[in-house]
Amino acid sequence: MVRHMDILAEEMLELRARDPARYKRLIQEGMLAELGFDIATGSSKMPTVDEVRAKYRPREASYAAIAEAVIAGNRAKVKDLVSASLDQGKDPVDLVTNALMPGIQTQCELYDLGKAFVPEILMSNDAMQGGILLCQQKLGDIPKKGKLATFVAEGDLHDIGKNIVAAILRANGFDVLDLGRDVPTAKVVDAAREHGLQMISGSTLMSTTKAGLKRTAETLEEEGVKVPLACGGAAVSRSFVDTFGNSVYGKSPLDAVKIATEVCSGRDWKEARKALY
Amino acid sequence: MNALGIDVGGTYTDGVLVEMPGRKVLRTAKVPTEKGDLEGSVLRCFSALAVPSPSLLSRFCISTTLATNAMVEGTKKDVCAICIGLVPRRVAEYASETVIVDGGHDAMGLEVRPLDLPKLMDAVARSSKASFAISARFGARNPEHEVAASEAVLGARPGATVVRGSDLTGTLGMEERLFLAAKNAELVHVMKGLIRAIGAVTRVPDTSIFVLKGDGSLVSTEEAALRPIMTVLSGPAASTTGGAVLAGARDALVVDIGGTTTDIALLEGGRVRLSEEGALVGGARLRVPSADITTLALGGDTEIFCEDGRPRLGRRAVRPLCLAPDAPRQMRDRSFLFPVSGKESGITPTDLFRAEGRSGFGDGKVAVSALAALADECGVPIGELFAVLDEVIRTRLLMALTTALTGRVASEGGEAEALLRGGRLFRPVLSIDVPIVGIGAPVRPFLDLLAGRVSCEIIVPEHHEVGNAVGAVCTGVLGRRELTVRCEPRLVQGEEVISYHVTTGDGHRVFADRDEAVAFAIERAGEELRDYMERSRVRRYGTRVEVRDITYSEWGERKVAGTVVSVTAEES
Repeated sequence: MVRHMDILAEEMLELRARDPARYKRLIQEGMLAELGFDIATGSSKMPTVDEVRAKYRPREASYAAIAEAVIAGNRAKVKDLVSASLDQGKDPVDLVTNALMPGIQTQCELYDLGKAFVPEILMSNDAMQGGILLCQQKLGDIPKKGKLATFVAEGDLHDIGKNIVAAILRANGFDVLDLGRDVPTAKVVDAAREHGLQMISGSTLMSTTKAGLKRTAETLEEEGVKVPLACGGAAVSRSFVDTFGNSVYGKSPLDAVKIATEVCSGRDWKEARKALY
Repeated sequence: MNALGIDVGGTYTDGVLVEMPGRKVLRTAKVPTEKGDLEGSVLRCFSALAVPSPSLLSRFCISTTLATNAMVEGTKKDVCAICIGLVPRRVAEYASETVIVDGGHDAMGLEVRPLDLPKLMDAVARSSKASFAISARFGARNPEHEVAASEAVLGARPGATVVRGSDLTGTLGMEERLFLAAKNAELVHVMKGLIRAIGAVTRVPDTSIFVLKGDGSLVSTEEAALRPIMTVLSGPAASTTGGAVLAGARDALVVDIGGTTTDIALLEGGRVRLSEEGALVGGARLRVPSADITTLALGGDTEIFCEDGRPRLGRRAVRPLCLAPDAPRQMRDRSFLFPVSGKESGITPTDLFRAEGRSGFGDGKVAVSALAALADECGVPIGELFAVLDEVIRTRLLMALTTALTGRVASEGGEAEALLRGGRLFRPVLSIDVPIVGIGAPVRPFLDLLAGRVSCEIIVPEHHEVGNAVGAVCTGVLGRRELTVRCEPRLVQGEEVISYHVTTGDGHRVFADRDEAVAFAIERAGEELRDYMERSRVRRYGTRVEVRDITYSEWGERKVAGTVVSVTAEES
């Protein structure tokens, strides 16, 4: 689009007179672009840190304080606040679901957006576990949403991603059995049988070991263990996971939570794929 | 040349004599099916047709519920299950004896442990069974242990029936394949008996007799006796093909309305659309190809009753009053108006259509007085009762049509139903791109209800009442073999080495070169198909080879996970 500069300038002046607010925003965006900021991805779609925090922040002040302490990863403070709330006669289950969980959910979503980092998730999880422990003492056992396992494919020693997935799944109320890294297929299948698992999450960072995920998913199917495999990791793509059955692909740790929620509510891998893809 | 088709259904056995290759219907017959006497039903239908010279028939095609019934009713479980390399969990449900031996392969098709033949032979020698079902761990990836075991069993017991799981299906799930093999082994004798009896009495030569499979294609008697499980649910496939043939359509939504149920199936390009998951029979999922059908409880015998002063359409089937021999006795008290348990006769759509004057089937006086009694009980004029009942039946049909077309089940009484039913000021019209073809005896008054509510053509062809039998005879032999060349990476001294694995009917080969592997797969698939077509006594057929890569992206690069070679042969 090539136009005469005079006409363009005229239109700009007209716009300033008609819609000053829009004019101002356009000028600001232009300046930002000049300075090298990425406007398209920064402002319009991705929620900001404050928006994410506001989305999960509990209404009640004491609950909001607990959530903030979880986000800050301050275990001692979380324990103090939770025990104070329990002394006031608050319901332990309500505390877990409406004060502690929103904290970790905020942190997980921030991680997905690239606004939080692995150590922060681990610290928040630790802080939350401190609070959950107190609630459990009050209540007995808090019902789990499902029994899962996590592992890293055979031949691969990179387990940081798996640790995050395990932490986030635990944070979301699942009972997670961590099988570790460099895990052969047979060990996964045995664990699924022995512990009556509902879903297994497998990951790998190396393209040379990704075939291990495929073999594990197929062996589970062959042996009649009806446990779907949630696959993820840097070397794993959705199109790769689609080349074999009994599997669902997840890109982020929160995807693992979504898959687990689908599977633990009784869906099989095909239905889970349909619901999530 | 004439061809004969017989379809043994749950209520009626239909027969049709067709002039080939013009597919002109010469004679039709309909006799009631005697439960538990399939042979008798086929033979009575055969004699009702009075076939001029049975030995000159070009083809005698049978679609039977034999396998389906055996699956639903459960059988003697007189089978010895041989499991290689894996312990099955619910084997007692389908086999009376279990032998578990070492062996089996891994997901790549490589041997995990050698087959323990001595232990197997020892167990077989002690077994009293005459039928054996064999399934090995990853037998679908490498059947060599299954083949070796079946040869060993046949060597020791030459007369035995031996069925291998991986021979029937290539899907994963060792126990599912074992279950399929066990059911197949049981059916072998039953199917052989039926074919022998039919051949002996009708004097049709064995070589002209064909049996319909669940995917709508025909198989020879040898093949049917070898893999009878494949004939499960052939009825829906027959009715769909038959409807389309009679209507002269290659794409159609075929609605088959019988006494108790309505089956809806989609025909695409002259072929029945198959279910992705395999047949669902008697609550068990069988990994055999079968038509993808939507079934609903609506037929000529569906119960209509009064509940809370309102007319209702139920789900169970009762005998229509207008067809009951003792209707006056049944109608002596008003219990026939209510959903009493164990009642034999009642008001049905058949009575409704008779009373409305839209069909001439049954005793008109009985139908009118029965419907008048219902109107009285519900406190509405008879005209309004007719309108309400028509509405209810129409809505149930429309719901089923949308289910068949979308693959989603809408809940009864939900918003979708309210929308489909319409109201005083609006009536939704379904715009469907293919014609609706109706078959089955009571179909016409049912489909008349759809007039104005669907935009497509509604065809109720001539001879629609024997559509199933037409479908059985107007189809051909179809062979299909699919071999997959799987790329299996392995790490050798830190380097990724890819080998190409091909699983064939009786073994497994590993190649270092992909082209070589694909060429081998094409050749083997062709050979296996030639065998199949020869066994099916088809001399002239066209073959089509398709090679398709399964790919995925990695770091932005296209990579191949496997190559599917599928060879199809169709009778010409």
